[in-house]
Amino acid sequence: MRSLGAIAALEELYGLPEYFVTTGTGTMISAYCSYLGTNAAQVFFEQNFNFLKRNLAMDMLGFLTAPSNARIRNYNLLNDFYTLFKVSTNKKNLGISEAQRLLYFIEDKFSFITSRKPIVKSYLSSFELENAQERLFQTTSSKLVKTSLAVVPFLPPVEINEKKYISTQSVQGVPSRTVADGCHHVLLDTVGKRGYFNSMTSFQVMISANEMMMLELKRRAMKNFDFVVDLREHFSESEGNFLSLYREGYNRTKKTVKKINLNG
Amino acid sequence: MKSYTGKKLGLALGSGGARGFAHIALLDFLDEKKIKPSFITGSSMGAVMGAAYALTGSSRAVKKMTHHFISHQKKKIDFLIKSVEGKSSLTDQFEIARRTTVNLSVMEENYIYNMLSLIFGKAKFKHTKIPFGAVATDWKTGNCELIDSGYIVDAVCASSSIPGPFHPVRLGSTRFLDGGVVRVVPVIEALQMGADEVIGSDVSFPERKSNFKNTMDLIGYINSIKTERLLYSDLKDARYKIYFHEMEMPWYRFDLFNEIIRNSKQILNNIFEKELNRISLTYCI
Repeated sequence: MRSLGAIAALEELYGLPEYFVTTGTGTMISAYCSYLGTNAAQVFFEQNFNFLKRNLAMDMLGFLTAPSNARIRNYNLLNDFYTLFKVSTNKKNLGISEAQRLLYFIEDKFSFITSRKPIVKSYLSSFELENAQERLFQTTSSKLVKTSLAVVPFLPPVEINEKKYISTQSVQGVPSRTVADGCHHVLLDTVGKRGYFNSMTSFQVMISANEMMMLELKRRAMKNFDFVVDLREHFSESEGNFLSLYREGYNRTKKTVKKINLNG
Repeated sequence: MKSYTGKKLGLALGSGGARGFAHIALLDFLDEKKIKPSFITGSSMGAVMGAAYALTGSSRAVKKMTHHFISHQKKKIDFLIKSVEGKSSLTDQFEIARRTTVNLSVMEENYIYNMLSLIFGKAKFKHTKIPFGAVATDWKTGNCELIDSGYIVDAVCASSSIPGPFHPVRLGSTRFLDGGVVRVVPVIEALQMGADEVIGSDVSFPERKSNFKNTMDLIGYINSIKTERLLYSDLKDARYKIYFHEMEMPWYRFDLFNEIIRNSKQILNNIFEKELNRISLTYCI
C-alpha cells in the first residue's frame, strides 16, 4: 500500500510512467494502476484492504522476532514444528497458506485485464522453475498475476503451458530491469530489511539464511536501478490501516525524489 | 606468485560441502605446474581446503589430512547421509525435527569445532605459507565478512557453519553463519587481499527440475537457484573460471572422497584444458 502512495507521488511530480515492472504483491497494484488508473486503484485497495491484510500476511521473517513472553514463545515453537511438518509432508499443494480464497479473489477482481486496454504498459516478473530463469510478461491475464504472487512457501507454483512459475520475489526480491533502455528506472523497494535476524532455533536460522541469500541477490539487482525509494518497514510496525500506509509511501517518495532530478 | 607481467595470482575456492573435495584436483594441477598463488580465499568447504593448502603449501598434504579426517568420521558421515536422504529411523527423524525447532542447531554446539580442530589444531593465520582469508556471513546483518587473523580453526568453523545443521559461530561480539549463504566463491575478497587476477573454483551443482516431492524440496531447489545466481555474479570478477557442474555428487556424500577427486580430475582435463593452459602460460615459470 506504501507503493501505491509512492506511485501517486511520482505521478504527481513527473506524470505517468512509461511502464511498470513488478513482482510479488506489487503486481496487483501495478495491474490496477496500469488498466484503471491510480485513483481507481486507491479506491479499490482501500475497500479490499482488510481482506488483503488477512490473506497476504506472509512475511517470512514476521515470526522470527523472539517474543519475551514465554507462553508466546512456546506457541511459536509449536507453530514452527507444525510448519516443519507441513513443508516436509505436503505433496499435492506446495503452498502452506490457505491460498484458495486469495486466488479466487484475483480471478474475480482482476478479470478486467482481459477486456481492457492498459493506460500504461505493465509487466510482471515471474520465475520459471524448470529453466531457473526470470521471465517478464506483459500483464494480460489474471492467471499471470497469480504467477507473480506465488511466493514460496506460502503459495503454490502456478502452471502455464506446462511450465511452473513462482514469484521472482522468492528468488531475488525485485525484478531485473530489462524492458526498455533510455528510461530512468525507479525501484519502489518494499522487500525485507537487513539487521533484524533474531533467530532462536535452527529452523528459524535456516529461514533467515534463505532470506539473507534473497536479500544479497536483491542488493546486486538493485544496482540496475537509477534510484531507490526505500519503502521497507515491518508491516506490524506501522499502524496497519490503508490510509496511513498510503500516506507513508506518498510522503517518503516526495522526500526522496526531492534529492534527485529525473529530468536532468 | 607473480606472472611474467608482475601480476599476483589469487585463488578463490567456493562452497559446496563434500563436492569441495574437487578443489584438491585444482590444487594438484597448480602443484604439478609449480604455480603458487599469492593469496587464497575460501568459503565454507572452500575455506577448509584453502586453509589446509595455505598452511602446508602442498596438495598432497591436503589430500592426506582430509583422507585421515574422513576415515575417523565414518559414523557421523553415515548419520548425515541417512538424515539427508530420509533413511534414518523414525526415532532419529523425530529427534532431528525436535532439535530443528528447539535448538539453535541440529548437531551439538561444538560439533564442527571439534571436527575441524583435528585438522587445524592451534594454527594461526600468521603460520600460513600463503596469505589466506575465509569468508563468513554476519548473522545480524547478512553481510559477508573476510576473516584473516587469529586462529584458523575459528575462521574456518565460522565459514562452514551451515545454517540448520551447525551452530552459528561466535567470534568476538559477532555471530557468523556459513560464508556460502551470501558469497559462494570469494573472488572479490581475493582481489581485496591484493591479487591482480583470480582463479575462481566453483564446486556447486546447479539443479534443473520441475517436479517436487514436497514444499521442503521446492525450498531446497530455490536455494540452489539462488546459489547459482550468486556464484555467476561472484565469478564475474575472476580472470579464470573453473566449474565442476558435471560432477553429479551430492553435497553430503563425504564418504565419496576418492570418487570426487577422480571425477574432478577428469573434468579439469577434459573440459578446462584451455583454461588450465592459459593459467600455465601466464604463471608457470
